[in-house]
Amino acid sequence: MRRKYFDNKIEVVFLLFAVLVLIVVCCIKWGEIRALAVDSYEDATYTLSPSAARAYAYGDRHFNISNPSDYDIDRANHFFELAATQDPTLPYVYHQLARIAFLQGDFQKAIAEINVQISMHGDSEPSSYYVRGLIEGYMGNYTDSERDYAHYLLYDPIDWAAVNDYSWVLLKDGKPAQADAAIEKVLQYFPDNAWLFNSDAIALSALGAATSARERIAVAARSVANLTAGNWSRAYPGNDPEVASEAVIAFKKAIAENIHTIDGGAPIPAL
Amino acid sequence: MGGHDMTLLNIKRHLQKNRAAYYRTVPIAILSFAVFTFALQNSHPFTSAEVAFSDTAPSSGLAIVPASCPSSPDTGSCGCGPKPTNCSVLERIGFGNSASCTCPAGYTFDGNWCVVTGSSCNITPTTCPVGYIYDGAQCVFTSCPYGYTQTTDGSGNPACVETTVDTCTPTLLCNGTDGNLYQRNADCSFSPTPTTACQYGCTGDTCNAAPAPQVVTFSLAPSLVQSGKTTVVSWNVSNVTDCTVTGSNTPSDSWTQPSGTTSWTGSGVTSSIVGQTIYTLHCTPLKGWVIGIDNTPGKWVDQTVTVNIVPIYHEQ
Repeated sequence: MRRKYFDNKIEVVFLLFAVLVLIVVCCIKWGEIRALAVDSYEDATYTLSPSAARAYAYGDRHFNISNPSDYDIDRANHFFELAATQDPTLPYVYHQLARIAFLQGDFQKAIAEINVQISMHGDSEPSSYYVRGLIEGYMGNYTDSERDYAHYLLYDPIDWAAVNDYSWVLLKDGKPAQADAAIEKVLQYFPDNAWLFNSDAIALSALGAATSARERIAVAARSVANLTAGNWSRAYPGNDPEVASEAVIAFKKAIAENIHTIDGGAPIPAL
Repeated sequence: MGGHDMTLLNIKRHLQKNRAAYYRTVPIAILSFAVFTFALQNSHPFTSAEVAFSDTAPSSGLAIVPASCPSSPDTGSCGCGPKPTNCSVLERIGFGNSASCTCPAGYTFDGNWCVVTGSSCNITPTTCPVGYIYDGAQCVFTSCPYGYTQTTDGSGNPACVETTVDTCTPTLLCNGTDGNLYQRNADCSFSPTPTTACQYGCTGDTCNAAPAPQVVTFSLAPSLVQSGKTTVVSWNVSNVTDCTVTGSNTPSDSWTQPSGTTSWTGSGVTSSIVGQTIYTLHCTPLKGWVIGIDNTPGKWVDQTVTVNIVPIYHEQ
């Protein structure tokens, strides 16, 4: 009698322990559990009712940052490929595949995908020219990149990122005067943009305008000090929000090194 | 005893009889599930080619840092363009409360951003307090609209409180209901009829430009046929006029968009295919479709699809 009571007590404790472990694990791994549930739902619904629109929507869910916990670039790529197979004429499907390949560092694949996109949709989706310019820049094809950025700027001339990236490839192509001119046209609209002021400082430094370069890099330094992970994610859509903090640190470090080079180590004057 | 009572009694007897087994197997099953759950891998974080990328400037060695703000089709140029200025709320009389802000030429205020005229933002705007604009990351104070007085809230942040309005600034304002521009007078009254009719609706104080052409589909099914067979060309285009689909065969297959329409959906059976045949979709964009700050007319890019015949092999 006494032994039976003792055995039952151990078993009850064991059961409670197992439940406690499960609760703790579920709390720790809630994100993964939710992701598994979402993925299972998507796979089931797509299997039951496959369509290009559904595949594209699922791909978009895992790629844009409206819900950071859903970000999964591999899964996004899987669904975009399904969408492209179902309907190659779907707007932006090759654009998204190009962006994913670019982010994964497969620039050859990225350029192939974006070329398909542009051949099919051309000027009706002008941001594809911007993406192609970005890919070409990363590949070192600065002349082609200049052409595509210039084409995009016809559509969206006061876009800080397009102007910044255009100046990047102009600088790499040995055209600092043009880079400076492109930035100066839009600086009035972005008085606290760290990217633009950094690029302009580099252009002015290449032109020998040391004082102006120093002023510009000082503004960049003050601006980047206030840069948040959210700001960075906004400037680099399609990236994992979890790396935004690390990326902000890297950007701040790049500007700090530029300050050191331009100033020769002198402190930045306050406004 | 009733059937229901017998079932409960049977269950109770089963549990009592197998209590030891349940006390052992159930926790093991729970722990197994916990191990499985713990083994689930997080796909994060993913470090892309852009994170920490910088390019070295020639000769100086300075670090150039590119961005990619307008690359997403979900947001386009939203938040990458110039910030709206001189914002004022539409008066309480007439169209209710909404912001009217100034954007540079070629851009239109859509309620949250300055966007390229004719484009739209596909992201859900964040609701900000009166006088604040969402810059993509947070609500940022700009100025108190007409009819509001600036003060500070309990945390010392700028805030706008409603005040009595005696006079208004005369201006053209967009009626969101009929998409036309109405004149607002100095006494805050509105013209009874539209001052300017907008063909494609309006935003702020200007009419919207014509929308860009959209090729939803242009396809062949099948794209590979036996010689002498036919195939079906399908198309779905919008915001266009005078579209034609023509084939490279002789005599040429041809279909034409009905006049007076701005969208065209349809399909056609081709004539017999006896060789590679290319079908070309050519359209005229809506009048007034422009791109860029100089209002450069947009250009249509012809779309093509190709049908081939199955090769016939003769054995030697």
